[in-house]
Amino acid sequence: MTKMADSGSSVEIVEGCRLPVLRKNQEHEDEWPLAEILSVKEVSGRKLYYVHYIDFNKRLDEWVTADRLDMKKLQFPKKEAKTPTKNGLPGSRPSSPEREVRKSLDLNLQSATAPSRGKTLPTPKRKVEPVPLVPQVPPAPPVPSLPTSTEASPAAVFPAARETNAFKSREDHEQISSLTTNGTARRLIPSQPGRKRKANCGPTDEDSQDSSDGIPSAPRMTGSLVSDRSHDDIVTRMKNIECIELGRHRLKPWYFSPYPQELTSLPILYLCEFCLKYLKSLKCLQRHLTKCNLRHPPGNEIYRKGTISFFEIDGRKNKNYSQNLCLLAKCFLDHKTLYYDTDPFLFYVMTEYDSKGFHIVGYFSKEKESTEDYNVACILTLPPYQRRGYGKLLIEFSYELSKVEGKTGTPEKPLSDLGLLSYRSYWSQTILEILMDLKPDNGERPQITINEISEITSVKKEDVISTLQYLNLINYYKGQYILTLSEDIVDGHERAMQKRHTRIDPKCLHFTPKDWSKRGKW
Amino acid sequence: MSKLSFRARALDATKPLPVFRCEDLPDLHEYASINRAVPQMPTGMEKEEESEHHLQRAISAQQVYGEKRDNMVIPVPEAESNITYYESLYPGDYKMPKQLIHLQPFSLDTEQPDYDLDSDDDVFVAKLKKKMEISLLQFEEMIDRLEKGSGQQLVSLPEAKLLLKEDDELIKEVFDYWSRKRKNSKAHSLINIIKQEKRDGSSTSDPYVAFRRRTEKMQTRKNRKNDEASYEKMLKLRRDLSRAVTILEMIKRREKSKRELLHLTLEIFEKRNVMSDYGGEVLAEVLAERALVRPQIIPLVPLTNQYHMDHKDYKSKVSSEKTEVPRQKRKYEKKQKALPLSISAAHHQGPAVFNAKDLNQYDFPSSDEEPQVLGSSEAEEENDPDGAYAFRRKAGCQYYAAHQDRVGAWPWSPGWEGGLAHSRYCYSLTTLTVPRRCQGLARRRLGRGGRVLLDRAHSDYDNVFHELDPKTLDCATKTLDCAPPPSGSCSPAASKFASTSPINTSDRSSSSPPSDLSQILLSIKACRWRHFRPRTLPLHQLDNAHPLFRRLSRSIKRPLTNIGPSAQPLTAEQFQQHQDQLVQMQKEQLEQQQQLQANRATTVSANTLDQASAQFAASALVTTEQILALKTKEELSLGGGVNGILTPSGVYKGLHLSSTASPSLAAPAPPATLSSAASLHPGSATNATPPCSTNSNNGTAHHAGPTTTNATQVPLGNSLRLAVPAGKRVHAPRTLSSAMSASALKLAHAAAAANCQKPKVPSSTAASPLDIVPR
Repeated sequence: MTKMADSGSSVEIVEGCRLPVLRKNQEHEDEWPLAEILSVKEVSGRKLYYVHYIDFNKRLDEWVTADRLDMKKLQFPKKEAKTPTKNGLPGSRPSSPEREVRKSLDLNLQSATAPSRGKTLPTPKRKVEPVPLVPQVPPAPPVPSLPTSTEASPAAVFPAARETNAFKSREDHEQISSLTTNGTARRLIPSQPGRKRKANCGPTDEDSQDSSDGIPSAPRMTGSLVSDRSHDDIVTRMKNIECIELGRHRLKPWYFSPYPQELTSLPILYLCEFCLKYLKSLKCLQRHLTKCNLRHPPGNEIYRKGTISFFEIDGRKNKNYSQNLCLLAKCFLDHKTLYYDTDPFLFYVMTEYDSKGFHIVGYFSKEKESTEDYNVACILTLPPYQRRGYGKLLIEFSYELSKVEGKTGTPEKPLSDLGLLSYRSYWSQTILEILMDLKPDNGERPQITINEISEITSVKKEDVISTLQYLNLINYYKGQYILTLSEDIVDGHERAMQKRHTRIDPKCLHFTPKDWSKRGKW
Repeated sequence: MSKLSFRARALDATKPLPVFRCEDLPDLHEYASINRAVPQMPTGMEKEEESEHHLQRAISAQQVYGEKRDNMVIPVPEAESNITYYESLYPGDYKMPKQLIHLQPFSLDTEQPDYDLDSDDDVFVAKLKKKMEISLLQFEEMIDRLEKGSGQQLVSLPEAKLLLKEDDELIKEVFDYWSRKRKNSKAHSLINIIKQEKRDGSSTSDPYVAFRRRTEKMQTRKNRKNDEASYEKMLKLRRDLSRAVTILEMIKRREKSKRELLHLTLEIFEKRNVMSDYGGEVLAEVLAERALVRPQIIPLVPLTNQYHMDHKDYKSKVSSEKTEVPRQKRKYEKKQKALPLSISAAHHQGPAVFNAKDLNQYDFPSSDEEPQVLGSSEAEEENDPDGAYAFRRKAGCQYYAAHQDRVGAWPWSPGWEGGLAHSRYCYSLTTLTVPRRCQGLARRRLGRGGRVLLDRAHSDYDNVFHELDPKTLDCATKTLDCAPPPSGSCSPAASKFASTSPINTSDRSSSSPPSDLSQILLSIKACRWRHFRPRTLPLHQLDNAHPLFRRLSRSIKRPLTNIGPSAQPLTAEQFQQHQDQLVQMQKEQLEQQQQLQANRATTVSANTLDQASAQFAASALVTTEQILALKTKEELSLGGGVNGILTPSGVYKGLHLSSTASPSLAAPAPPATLSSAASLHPGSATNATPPCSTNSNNGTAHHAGPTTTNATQVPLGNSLRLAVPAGKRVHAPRTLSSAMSASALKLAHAAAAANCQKPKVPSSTAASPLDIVPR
């Protein structure tokens, strides 16, 4: 891999372009994953590009300078009829919205009017595949001269074609970085004029929750997460807050959060550690702290053991705090929606105490009335506290609440990657704990039903099964299902449990569930 | 082995699963191939995210190593935790409370300004401090108020002065600074707030708009019971609040009365001063006088059923009260404590007597607590037998007391009892033709479309009446030809029946009842009792009646005998007859003031009126109109007494048709249009915009609109409606009585004929156009 010294002096890198971008991996080695340009901006004469690394989570998206782009392998936005699922890995979501394509088209159209190029262009309203312009790029040798037949026939005209000649031929010439497993898989799908990016937001044949054809309609009013991204646009796909200062921590947001727009240009957004109010400057924060006398989340403490406490906050009674909490949480939860008010939710904030007060570590929200057995809506450990067992504590607490309620529960879907790992880990440990504690009675093999596991743990039956499956514990042996515990599993579990020094103590929980259905609305 | 020969059963969550250690089952791997029966559970992640590089790596690492290796975790953007000034920023003196923290309600509602001063402000305030006194908090509060006072438009300086309590100079400084800062700021507000949703719905997809209100109800289905309960509660609340309003209104009245009392007392005092009544001699004299006259309590808001009060009495009471007021005052002044409540109540102009209905006037029925409003409670029934039909006063209406001297003067009562009805409309014995038998007592009434309705009355002799054979009656008439001539008035019994309304079944026993059949027969013969029989009436019985009446009797039987309307063309002879009738009718109107009925047959056949006859009819109307005008004056002056009090609506009112004709654009009718025009709409033939039809059907409308009331009633072809534009538009109920003035009908026909240029209008079309009349 050679790094391009000087690239785009003559070439316009527009939104939707794809090219390898340099980044450091966890071992601090250079790698060149394929990335998509989502946005371009100019800061003091230098161009900055907002890139999304394909097949990496959005949270790693960042603004990069031009010298990190590998211009040799630049791919312009291209429209193909492709079903990403069939063709290799579907990759992560981002791909260019319609308007980006159109923008680039306009640019291309402008340059195409030059008399030297004898291109026949369709009417401006038609979307054109900007392939013919690729030869403009002087320092890009792999780009071939395309067959004349494809030049005049943009792919948009043949939306059904799976792979056009143009695409194939170019693909042959491209040397795709070995790190980008499916660089060719992420192509733009031709979308209908006037539609948003619905068409290319994923495998539509598999989950088409939205039948409204991109007509903006209000999302459903239950739950806290969106899996339907029809409301997504380029704004929400990009992080808008650079840095958040919360207490002694500085956090780099992972995702978009609808803090007031005028605050998004600030280098640092200051948050009051206790009431989570957002402030534009340190001075303002100082002033605020003279007036804010909170030293704990403004709710009732329903659990305390050691320094760990849980506070319950009613999203209806304490709107300000709930909204501030949601805004902060949205920075780290991709699928969280803040479309509607916080009224139907309860917020359980986990804190750690020191002489300054009760510091927020993480939280989970919960619908007062869930129609789908959700016992958690959103759950988050703030980044400074991650990977230290707090997440498991939060999850454990959520199931303790369910136990008091006498219900089984499950987290609201979709799960994030980290959410999946955390929950799987919690479920595994919880179930293994039970299985290993089973004592043989009367010399017989100990046995247990899935329902029993579910009842003991308050973990929903489906989650129990999926965990057993994931751990590969279910085996079919001599005409019946059995659960088998391998040595690896047992050892791994014992090691993991040693790390779980902090546990939720049900005796310290002071919680009486309320029947919200009897309280009018929420 | 037959490992694959049987299918693995689905995993049953209720079935116990034995737990084995792998080392106990050395042959387990042999069975591994049939592990497929358990369906793969979804992970719960979005499909495309699930395949993300780092996650897959982490999952596989976990599966390989049993636990996560440090370099295999999912990378996240870094977080810093070494803020140097943190220690100084937050005080470190917080002691953990021993008890679990329980948030007190409202403890969060501190009156702190939301605005936080920034460094620019700091500079400004520091500068300002040299000139005048201002604290940072004070400054923040001012800005906070200015910000919160501004909506789309900024607060102006005068408004700011009202908003802020500081002195003007300071306000001006801060205001100037604020408006400058606000102008330079890109944001909507200096207090940074989350973007609110717009009402027009344009913000549905704005990513910066958050925390929208949930407009729709969530799951009404699930909580339907609950919704009902809350609805009931809302109703109760509304009623309680309206009660509060009522009480407040009453308090207002009371206070007004108090004020008036004060004024009057003052007046008395001044008067005494002028009279030099320092010793109170005059007062004492007046008081002595006063003691003789018992104060009368006049409920100005009378109880529902207590407003029957003689008109004159009422007046005198009012006047006497007026004169008494000052004297009363004096008494009040002297013996404030000893005075009975009733006296003070009497002179208070505000009503001292309230009744339950008044209290309830703002109330709304709710299902649980106020059944009495619905009239279902028995206790209520006793107090208020009229229930839902109880008389209720209307605001702005003047009510007069009932006329004592005209009791029984029902519209259907004969003239000698003060009623308006001709004796033939009174209750009389009635015999039908088709079930040929005597029906007992009934009175005739015109219904819709000229139908004759018989109101039957119950009497104790019904079975006797039923036995009356019309034939015997006939022969009896012949044999008893020499019966004594009818006396001037009916027998007491007959008159009793005559005044018997369907509701009023009171003291019948007082009269001398005819005991048997022959007696009744005799009474009939002697014309003491009227006996009505359609068609078969011997002519000689009606000899003394005018010809029209005969015709009437003929027409009446028609609906009863179900003979369809005849559609013969009108001959000249008939037309002449018709003319005569018209003249006759006018006379009738002037003489008797009673309802007339025109010949229905004529009405229908009038469709074939030619131009000439139309002309005639129109001109006839002109005269009728004049007569009407005369009559109206008469009636208005006469009706004054009756007007105010609501007569039971129904028959009587229905028979009245107010018809003031005024020129109509739509009907280019012959000369008649000069003074008046009415347009008739036969079927769909005409599309002329019909004038608004008015028919004042209730007492209030009668009173309000100076519409001429016309007593002439004409049965009209089945459902012909005449649109009569009135000078003043009275919005009448939809039910237009099908009866209408003969003149108007004539004119209408004329107009129709002229308008449509149709020599013949089929009777069917003329009879059916109910729908096209606008309502």
